[in-house]
Amino acid sequence: MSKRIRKPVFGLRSALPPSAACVVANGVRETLTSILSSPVEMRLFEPSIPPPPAWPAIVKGAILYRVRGSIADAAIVLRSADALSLVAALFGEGFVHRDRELSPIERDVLDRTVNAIAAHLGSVCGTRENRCVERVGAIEGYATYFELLIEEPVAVRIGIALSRDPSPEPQGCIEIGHLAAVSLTARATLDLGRIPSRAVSGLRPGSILAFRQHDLQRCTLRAHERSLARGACGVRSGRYAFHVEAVGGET
Amino acid sequence: MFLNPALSAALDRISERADDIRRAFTPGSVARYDDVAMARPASDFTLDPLAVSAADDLYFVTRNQRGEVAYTRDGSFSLRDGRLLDSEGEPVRGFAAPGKEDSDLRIDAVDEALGRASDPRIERDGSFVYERVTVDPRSGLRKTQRVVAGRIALARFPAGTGLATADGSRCIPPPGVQPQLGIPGDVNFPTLRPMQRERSRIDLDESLVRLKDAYIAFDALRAAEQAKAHLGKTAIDLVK
Repeated sequence: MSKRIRKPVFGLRSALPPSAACVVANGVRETLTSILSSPVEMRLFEPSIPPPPAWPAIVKGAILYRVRGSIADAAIVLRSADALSLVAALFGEGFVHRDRELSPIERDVLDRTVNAIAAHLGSVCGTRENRCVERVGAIEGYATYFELLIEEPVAVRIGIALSRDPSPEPQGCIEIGHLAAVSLTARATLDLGRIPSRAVSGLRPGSILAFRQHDLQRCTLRAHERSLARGACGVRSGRYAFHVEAVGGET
Repeated sequence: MFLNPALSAALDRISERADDIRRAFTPGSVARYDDVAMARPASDFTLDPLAVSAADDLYFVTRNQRGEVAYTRDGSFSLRDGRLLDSEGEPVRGFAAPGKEDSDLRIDAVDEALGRASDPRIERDGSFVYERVTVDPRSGLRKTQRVVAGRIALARFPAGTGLATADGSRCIPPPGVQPQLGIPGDVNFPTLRPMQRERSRIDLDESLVRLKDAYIAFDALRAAEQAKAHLGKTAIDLVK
């Protein structure tokens, strides 16, 4: 039975717009198309906020490059198998031995390719006059992650991590006019101050507890445990009424 | 413990018959005694997309953490931490790509870590498949992508091979016997039946009858032994 019900999953959503990632992907596609001299088919995975346990899986065995931007740092994550496939495609090789290290020449070619790819990260991490791309051993404290999925002419995934998720843009709020038709249960209460316990103990059906005139001046209007207004209650033009003297108050 | 070997053997038979009854509830298990074995395999429909049944004489391949390979007909698989496991929690073997050596079948580690993989299932050709959503950067349109994590490996043993089994489900071939490995839908291997859970190959009703027979045999032996002991004692008393 448990296998038929999908588990609920709660996750943080990245505030990085998918359109920004699309800009990166399109730029990278154009660059790789020119480098590989072949049309590149690419898709991407939407930006997400990986939970902390996911980061080791993301960077496991990956070649990492850090790109410093004006807004945030970015990291290019290339899993070793993807790096080998990409380099093999750059050299026009069809068959890839996935269980080996990159040769020095291949490393240099890969560094240059990543440098070209990093030129398109401005839309997500800001641009700098002196773009700095450096190979690093580990990345820490990164927040956002998305991947470029190259399908043709070679199957490669290029991960891009960002050190900061953009602040969410302010969204339009609900105006009071939209809520005007909602009905509230309002309650007017009187503060009678101190009364003799004799008067309380003598309360019976039919008893009359007399108010003083100034007690009517200490009236509070409340709705759902929230104080709306303070003022005086009484009779006006033949109707019971509440005269507002102050709006709000303690909750 | 009985000193009488006949009584000990009768108790062993009871235990073995009880084992067969327990195995009757394990999918794909085989009987210790042929007299309770069913002639052909049968399976039931299930809504579990990770449950499959294989044709007769074919086995799924698993390998535990110690590297010990075992074979099972129980295709009730599950997914844990991105890995395809059998009902005992051992990784199921398969081929991640054509021409590659067999390996544990699993969802891509990053897809699993980021929760991208959805709707995992096993198809007729043994493909272990899941889905993930990608975006076309030109149009911004989302598209569900079908990803094949690999194809399940099947094993076939030479005819007449006696497989050893401790629990009736996980089988081990005799030393020196190597199975033929393949993938469903290949030339020599028929396709799988998805969303089917194989029944055990044990006739439960017949097993219960045989267990009862074993108890009766034990009771008869015990009564005979008691009578024999009583007779001996009487004879000794008479001699005295």
